[in-house]
Amino acid sequence: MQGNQKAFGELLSRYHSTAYAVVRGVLGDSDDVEDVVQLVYVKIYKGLASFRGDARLSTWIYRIARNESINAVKKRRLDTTPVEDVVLAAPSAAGPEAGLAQRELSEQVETALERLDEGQRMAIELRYMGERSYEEIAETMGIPLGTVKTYIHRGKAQLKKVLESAALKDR
Amino acid sequence: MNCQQIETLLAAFVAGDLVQAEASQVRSHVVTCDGCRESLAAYEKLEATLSMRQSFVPPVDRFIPNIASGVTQTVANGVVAYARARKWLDRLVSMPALVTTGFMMSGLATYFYRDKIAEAIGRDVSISTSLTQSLESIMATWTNTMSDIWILGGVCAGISIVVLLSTGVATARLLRH
Repeated sequence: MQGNQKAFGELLSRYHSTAYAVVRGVLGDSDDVEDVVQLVYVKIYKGLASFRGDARLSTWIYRIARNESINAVKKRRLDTTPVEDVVLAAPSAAGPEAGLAQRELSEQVETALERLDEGQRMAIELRYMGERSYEEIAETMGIPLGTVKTYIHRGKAQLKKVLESAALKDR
Repeated sequence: MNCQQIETLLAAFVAGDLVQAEASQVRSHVVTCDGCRESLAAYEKLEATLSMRQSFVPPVDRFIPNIASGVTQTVANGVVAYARARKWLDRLVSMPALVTTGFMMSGLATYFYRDKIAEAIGRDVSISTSLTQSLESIMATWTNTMSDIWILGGVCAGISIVVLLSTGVATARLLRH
């Protein structure tokens, strides 16, 4: 068990940010994220022996993480505030406390991310939180490379629009 | 390229995904256009904020020690699921046992008190004469075979105790769940 765990630890460290990004992509900034990630790892640990290699390991992990996250949403009935009702925090006026402003912007981005389509959100999370290349994202999500780029660029355009409209509302 | 076309390229420009020719067009446009320069600054700010998201990922070491306990937990969940299944099985078994015992008791009571019941409701409550006769003949055979009436009484008391005990156990099970 000890040896298995060590080898498994090495495997996980390679895919940890991917799995975490996928769970965050579905659940958003929820308290349940770490519990679900833990569940995903238990499932991977148990299923690794029966993994036949039909799909790439990253795709297999992506599917497990996505399915577990969706199950968590169904089971726990997470906060499903309709995106129309999401109120973005007001951006702070430019001031000396740049760190605070950056944190506020970060929170706004977090909320704005929840407004994106799942594909766009997932691709962006894998790109920035998971630090994956476009090719790796395409392989993991099982979609063409061009679609990944479209998801990310359109997603960012959408994020910018949401942030701008929030800033306008506040004026 | 006009501002609208440049706007569609800005996200890819900031990410460094444009081919050189397109990137040059964007660069030369934003130098002369305040609106697009502002938009580019917003994209750069967004890019910087998104790039910080990798710091939100907790270290993997936090999850590794819990894998074994997670597997154990899964086994424990299996045991709990089995116990739940057993509980429902118990209920399924207990319920007919109770109902059957209830019917048997009321049947016996009706048989032994048939005269009083008949008197109370004003008509005969025997199921059929032949069945009553059969039961009476069985009783008579028993009484004849067993010389001592106390043996027959003991057997009847034993049966009653068994019936009462099983009813009690079934009831206790139902109440416990």
